[in-house]
Amino acid sequence: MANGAEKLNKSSTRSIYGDYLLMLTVPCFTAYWYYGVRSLLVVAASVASAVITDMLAGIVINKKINTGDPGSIFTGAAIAMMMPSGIPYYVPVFASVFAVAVVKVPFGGSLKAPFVPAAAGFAFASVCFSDKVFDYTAGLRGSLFGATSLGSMLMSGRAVYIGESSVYDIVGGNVAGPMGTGCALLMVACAFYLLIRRPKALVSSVSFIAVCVLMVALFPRVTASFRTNLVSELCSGSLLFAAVFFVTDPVTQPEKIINKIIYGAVCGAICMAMRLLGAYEEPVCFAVLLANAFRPILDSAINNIPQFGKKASRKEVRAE
Amino acid sequence: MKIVSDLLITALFTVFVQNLVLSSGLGMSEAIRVSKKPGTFGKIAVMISGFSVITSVICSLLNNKALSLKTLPFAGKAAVYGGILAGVYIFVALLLKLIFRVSDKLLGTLGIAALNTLVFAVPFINDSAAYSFVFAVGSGIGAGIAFVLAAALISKGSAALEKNKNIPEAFRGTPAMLIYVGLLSLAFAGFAGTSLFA
Amino acid sequence: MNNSISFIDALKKGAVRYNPVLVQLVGLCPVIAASTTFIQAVILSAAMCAELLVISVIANVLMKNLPRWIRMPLYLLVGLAIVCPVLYWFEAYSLSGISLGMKIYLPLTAINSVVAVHCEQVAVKSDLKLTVYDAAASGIGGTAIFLLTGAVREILGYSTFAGVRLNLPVTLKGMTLPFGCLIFLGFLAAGLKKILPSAENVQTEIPSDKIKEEPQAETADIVPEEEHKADGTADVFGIDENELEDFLKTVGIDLNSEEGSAQ
Repeated sequence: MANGAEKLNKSSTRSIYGDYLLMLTVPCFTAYWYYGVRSLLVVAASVASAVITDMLAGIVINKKINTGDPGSIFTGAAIAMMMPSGIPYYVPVFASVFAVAVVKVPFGGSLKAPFVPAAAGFAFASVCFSDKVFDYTAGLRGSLFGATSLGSMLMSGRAVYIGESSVYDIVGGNVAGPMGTGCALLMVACAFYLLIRRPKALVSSVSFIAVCVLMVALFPRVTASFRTNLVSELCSGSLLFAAVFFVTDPVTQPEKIINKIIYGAVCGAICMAMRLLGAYEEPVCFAVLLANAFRPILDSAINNIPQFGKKASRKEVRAE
Repeated sequence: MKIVSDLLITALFTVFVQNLVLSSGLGMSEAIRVSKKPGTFGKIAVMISGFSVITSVICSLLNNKALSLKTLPFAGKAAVYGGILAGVYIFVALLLKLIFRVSDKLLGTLGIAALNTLVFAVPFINDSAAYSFVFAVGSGIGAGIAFVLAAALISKGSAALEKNKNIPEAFRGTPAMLIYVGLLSLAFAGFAGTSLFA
Repeated sequence: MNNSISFIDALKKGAVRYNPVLVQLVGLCPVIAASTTFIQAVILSAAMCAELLVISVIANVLMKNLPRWIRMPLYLLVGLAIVCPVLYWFEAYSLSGISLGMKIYLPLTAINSVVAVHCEQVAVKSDLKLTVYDAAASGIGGTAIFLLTGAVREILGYSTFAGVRLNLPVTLKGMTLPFGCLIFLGFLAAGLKKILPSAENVQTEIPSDKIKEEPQAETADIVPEEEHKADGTADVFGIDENELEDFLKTVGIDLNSEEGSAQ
């Protein structure tokens, strides 16, 4: 794991997380546009708890204070983006504390964490507070389907006709859902920024989305046209957000292009399988975690491709 | 055809949705121990699947026909299941030892594969889910695959953890591994959301 | 020589330094899956201790001459003989708070790896006193972890303690799931490692049982070192013979002086 990060030295890390923080201002803006000041307070609480946990952990472990690690700020803000705006403050706080204290600190910092900390934090919150994390009733004013999110519609299998005009509403984010991740257009804009800065990272995102589209075509969740299914699957929950911010994560993403493609595809397949079978409305964070877990296996399997055929894991042992 | 699809669906369900090792903790100690030796994965998968299938088939046959275990109190069921498992293990070990003259080393691996909480739990799971014959076979096969999947994930993960020099002193070794396995378990919670028999 | 080991020493080593759950990573299943409340933890740890003691003693007295592959199913059968009456008693009097999960996990403790590992490593190759010491020490070490985990998980996960409501404002459902327990155990293990003064020579490698060293374990306890080196599979399941010997010494068994002191 985390080998991808070994090349990255400290300064380039800063610039990479700087990129991500800059990109995060976009969903923050979405959140403020649709949900007002409350959303910014949630972000502040989440970021503050992540940073404070990081500091305390530094004091306990190394007897020195870690300050200004952009990784923690990113973790806190990204967790807040995936929450509904009406969330009680303690939920993002617990999620951020979990992300930093369990995923980041024990493995030696953001650059070494084998899992994306923000994804783990949100997954923890989904398990612990599933009634609150997916409750969008404190929703936005005059949204398309009221307080019903696309994810819950898909989960209950309710078919909804999505016409021309409502597609614009959905793509623009004017529908109940996580506060920062709703606007698909702005997510695409973030992806374009990433395309300029780190074009290779987007390979995984592309294969992730491609597999998601394929899965929608094969296993539609509502009996409606392909377009309706596709638009509501891609725009519901945090799927696009995760594609841009988590799947491209420089620490957990594999290095070789072919590995990147497979990594994204695995993540997409798991995500859609979890949406079909799983317990939660938005399982993309669990899918990212599982893809992170599969990454070491993937790496060694690909390295052994010349003698692939029997058992990859066995080869690995002999090679060692 | 229906049988094959039933088998496949139950096996997949057991591997992913209720991954017995990672989201229920069954056979966790053995999975961690086996994960140190990736070369044995194939053998172990076949053995665990085999033992799970044999015991669960015998148990489900007994359930339906001869003994009608359903009327027994739970303690009786547990005793019967345990007796069957021990009997199957001794029978297979004797067979291998006397006829095929396998090494004692293999019998040791066989012991680990047969006598662990995962294999012992499969008849209980079949019982509480009221699985029929085919489903019981499917869940037995799934148990073996789930075990090896968990062992492989833990094995690769802990190999990477050993290379990681940034892990704080207190977390090196066992603690980091436990937390890693915990996060794996969290990832699988996205499928099920609850623990088995909770 | 071995007989001079005091119980306190055995306790320190068996329960703390080589804590069965946190360091040896055995017996994880009952902790992770079933000790979600304090009462369940009490029941499970009592069952585990009883099995550990009884089976160790039986193994020590009766099973020394049996081959290993016969011993292992016998542990299971003896364990079941202990647990099933208890389970029957629970059922008959339908004690409150005994869930279906408990009913399933209680018999599962009969097949616990704690028992198998301690019987194979200690009981069948040392004298009775050491066997009892070792079983008691690791039983106490395991019980401490069981109870602590059970209490913390119940307080955080259900906001109750031993069934009494505590009315905490927030409950973390994740603590009742296996992952919460594993992460908690990870932090406990890290804490233990921080507290132990001379931890550096212990913790990185997990002493585990010597499944693959069957021939040696069966035929002779004292095997020249070269043989282990030559046999590339001797360290299957992650144990190095020196490491094991080291571990056995700390619990009071010296493989090299075994014959002299075992009487």
